[in-house]
Amino acid sequence: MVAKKKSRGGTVGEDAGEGLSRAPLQAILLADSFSTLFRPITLERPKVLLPLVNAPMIEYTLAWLESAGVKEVFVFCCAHSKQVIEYLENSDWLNQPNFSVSTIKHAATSAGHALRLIYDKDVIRGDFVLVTGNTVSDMPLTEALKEHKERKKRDSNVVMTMVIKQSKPSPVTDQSRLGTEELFMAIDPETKELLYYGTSKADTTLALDRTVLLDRSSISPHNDMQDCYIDICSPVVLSLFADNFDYQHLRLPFVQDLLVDDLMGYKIFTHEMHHSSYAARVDNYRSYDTISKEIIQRWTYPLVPKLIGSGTTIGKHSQVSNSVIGENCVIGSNVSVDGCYIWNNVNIEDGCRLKQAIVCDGVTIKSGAVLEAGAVISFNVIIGQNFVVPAYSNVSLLQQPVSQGSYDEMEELVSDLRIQEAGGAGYIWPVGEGEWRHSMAPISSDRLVEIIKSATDELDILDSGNESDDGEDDYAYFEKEVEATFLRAVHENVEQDHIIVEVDSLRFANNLASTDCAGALFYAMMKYAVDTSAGEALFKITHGVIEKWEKLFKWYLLSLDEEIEVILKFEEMCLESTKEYASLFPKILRLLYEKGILQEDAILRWESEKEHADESDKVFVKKAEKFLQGLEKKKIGGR
Amino acid sequence: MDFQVVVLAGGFSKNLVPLVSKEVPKALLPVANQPVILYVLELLDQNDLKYAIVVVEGESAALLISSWISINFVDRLHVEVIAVPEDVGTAGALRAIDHRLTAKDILVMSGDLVTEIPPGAVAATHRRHDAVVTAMLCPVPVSGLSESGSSSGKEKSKKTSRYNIVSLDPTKQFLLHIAAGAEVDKDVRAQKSILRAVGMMEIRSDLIDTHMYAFKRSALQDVLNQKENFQSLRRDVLPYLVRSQLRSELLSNGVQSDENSNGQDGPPDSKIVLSQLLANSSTPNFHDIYALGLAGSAPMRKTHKCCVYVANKSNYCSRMNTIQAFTDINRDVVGEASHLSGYTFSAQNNIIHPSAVLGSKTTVGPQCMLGEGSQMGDKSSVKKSVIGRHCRIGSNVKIVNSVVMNHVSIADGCSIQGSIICSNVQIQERAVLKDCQVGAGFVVSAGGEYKGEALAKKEKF
Repeated sequence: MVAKKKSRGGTVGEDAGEGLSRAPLQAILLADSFSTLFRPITLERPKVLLPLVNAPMIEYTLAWLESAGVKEVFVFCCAHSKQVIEYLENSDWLNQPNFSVSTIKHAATSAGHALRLIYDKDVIRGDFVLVTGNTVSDMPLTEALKEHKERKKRDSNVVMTMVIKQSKPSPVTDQSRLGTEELFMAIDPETKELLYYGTSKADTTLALDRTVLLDRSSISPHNDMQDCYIDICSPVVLSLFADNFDYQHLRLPFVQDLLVDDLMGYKIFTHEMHHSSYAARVDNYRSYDTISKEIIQRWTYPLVPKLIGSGTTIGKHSQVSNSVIGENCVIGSNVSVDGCYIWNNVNIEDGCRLKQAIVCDGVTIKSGAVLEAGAVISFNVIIGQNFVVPAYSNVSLLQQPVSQGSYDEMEELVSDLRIQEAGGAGYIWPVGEGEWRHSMAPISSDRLVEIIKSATDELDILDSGNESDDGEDDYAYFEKEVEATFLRAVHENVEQDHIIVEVDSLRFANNLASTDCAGALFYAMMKYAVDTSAGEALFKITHGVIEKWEKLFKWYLLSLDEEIEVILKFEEMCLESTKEYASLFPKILRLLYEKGILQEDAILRWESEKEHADESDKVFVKKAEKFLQGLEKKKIGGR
Repeated sequence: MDFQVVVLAGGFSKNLVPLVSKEVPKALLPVANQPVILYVLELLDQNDLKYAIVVVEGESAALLISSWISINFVDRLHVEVIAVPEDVGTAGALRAIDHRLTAKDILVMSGDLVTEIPPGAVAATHRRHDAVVTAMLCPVPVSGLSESGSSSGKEKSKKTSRYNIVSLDPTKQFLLHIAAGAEVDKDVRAQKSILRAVGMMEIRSDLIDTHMYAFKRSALQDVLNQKENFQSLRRDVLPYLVRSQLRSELLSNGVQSDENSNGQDGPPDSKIVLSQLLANSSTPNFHDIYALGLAGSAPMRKTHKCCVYVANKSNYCSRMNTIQAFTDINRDVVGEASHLSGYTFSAQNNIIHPSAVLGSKTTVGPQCMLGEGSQMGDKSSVKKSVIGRHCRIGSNVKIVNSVVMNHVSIADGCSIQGSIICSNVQIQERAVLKDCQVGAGFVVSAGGEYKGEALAKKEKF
């Protein structure tokens, strides 16, 4: 377990309690990160309970919160909530004298949803600390809290103080040392107010409204900061989430929305952590590796766990380096283990070679087997004799879940590879395209060269487009990105919710309206239909596509404006990019109407808008004349 | 010769109508009774820069300026005045004298600059970094521009467009972004590729571009030749150089190759830089990352450096490019920046030429100047104003916060406030002028009252 230096924790806590406010400091700990980056492991065990240097992650988070002076923690349990609650019940956390831990259990779908549920519970009484259960830190909160309270005293619109830490992403991969995407922020160097927050690669420039320079003489854009995901929040944060159902994540679009919206004038500030403190979040395998190593090197002192668990035996002539091994493992002889995380009750037979791998509880690796860099072997898998697990592979007893409704005939589903030979048991999941980005294995130098080369090319393309930088270009770019996102949805079974989040963040990054989303998505769908039809039975295929993505599409049709935009877009496509649709215009228009995608009001308004247009502009109104007349009759008849 | 100095003196600037006239191009407009170009030339002289090319738009203006310089700077500076066509812009002017540029580096200065900041400081920064361009920036004076008398509400809305928006690296040595011509009024856009390379930048709106630049000649000529549509150094050439600093399109001659003697020992070893990249530590200079070649191959990309020299806040620095600036500079040079004028002030903190004549009970306040041979009647007063040579000013005249040029006659009982009166103007009895500009030779009739107007004879430029 985690060994703590009690004395230090105690004094910090008292300071925080006395100096700042009478109400005991509360914290919300989300015991679910609402991401799938730790699959397949998290199919069987919640992330917060995964061992990090032989102690479950949540131990680090709770120990830190206690030492930092938090008095009351609400642990929000979602995925595998039973396991989390059971764990806490068997631990000492639920009966500490000055530190109350209680659990809230609900099958929330997102972090935003979780905060809405907590808001409904009405348990938060003042400023609170918001963290996730995979945070490792030893940072004292006193100073950040003090700053937050002082700012709030001066300005009631201060809703949040975000803890950040200096850390420059790799100039080659644009990734942080934790394997997360690069982050762009703009901060007022004097007040530390956050003015911009974005991870999007969509734009080559970081655009700041010129009005932000009106009352300050300087602004600092940063690409060298890491978001620690430790937030000091005013209670109003919960109500903001409660009011906005499209806030799914703790950052986007929530933070961007607040920064852009000057109507309410909410402000977010940053607190740059002192460099002697530590804070990081385990988001993916790369950060798991990085943070484990840092714990081992005692960056996180006083959190000092064990490197090799009790009851573990290692055979003759075996070499273990840069690795962590759990309890009751049996490692045979002539085994080489380098840079690996081996959990509990693992059996590794003679002559195996393991490099930069995670091996979960109960796994058996039979003699002579090899795990190549970046392999993840989930619970109770058996790797057969002399079997070679290829680099970046995820191996699990469970098959990769197929998200419902996204199965499609046209797409080639790469299926899981079953490994049974030589006494093995498990499935090797297909390796995702970006797996190397956040894998345990370091990025190979070949890959780096490739990235540098492509980055150079990309820069040239993007910058030459930049010269005529205007709104049209933004939209054209946005449209392309939406199309790419949609195609990914089609080919990779991405869930609709994720598409919505992606499209939204694109929209915010490019500063476009919701009508643009509807138009672009429609364009993407129709283009996809044309591309797959190969000229035959276009209508039928279009029908299929629309039917399949109806739900997603409707999400963006908030009002008549979006619907009219869709018709206009359709018209434009028929005239320019995809003339194949020209003859089908009335038929598809009718289809959209019958599907309830377009309302008759939208169609009729489109018609009336065209009334005074040039003849050439009315081609499609004429084509659809019959259908339009029918609609009008119906409308009059309906009255 | 290491640095070649080019002074861009403009021509008959449209911004300064009606102050400029056929006889008086912009460079010869008076600041404390001396042509504004004198201040730049004096600065060069003081800094031991003895050779200069002065580029003037238009033949007639060039003649006027050339003859003035030859009279006043004979034996002190070797100045060559070259005329270029009108309205070619600052970049066009340099393009027109392309064949005359021969030194390794070119120091370009605006002929309307009134400052004490030594050009040598810019040149030194430029050389130290082996930069392609080094711009001199100056902090916005605390008083100066803002207390210029006009309404403060308007001032605020205009603020960002009046000052430059520039981005610097944390060490304040490199110029990372400068708003280009059309972008000035739009959102501020920082290039992510540059931000990535440097990690953090600082966008500032409190620095003025003084239009004093040091250019690497070969790079400047490349840009001028490749980009024929570039007209302005500030709006086109400089933003272009800044924008492309991490993927330089400049020809290689001179940019990287020649003269590595001054401390820069060749391109960094690519293997070392790569290992630094992998170690995720920062490189000594952000430009190096991109200039990196792998495994001994040719560099991936060329880079060039754009630097800044940020002047000390206590230095005076201003450009006479608007009517407001004309008034401000005249006020400052006899006021807070009086050391620039070269005059010795009296105990009353003013300068009254020994040949000037004052009537009884007439007062000339502090921070005023009364030129050679000017006469004033009785009971008149001058406050915070500059009056030129051989003016005839009657009795009971009040002149406040104004500039009066030469050979002006002001009759009895006039009141002149916040105005500029050009040479040979006649102002008849009891005229009242407030915030007006009166063009050369104009006659203001008796009893006339004007407020905020530009009065001038109809003269076609």
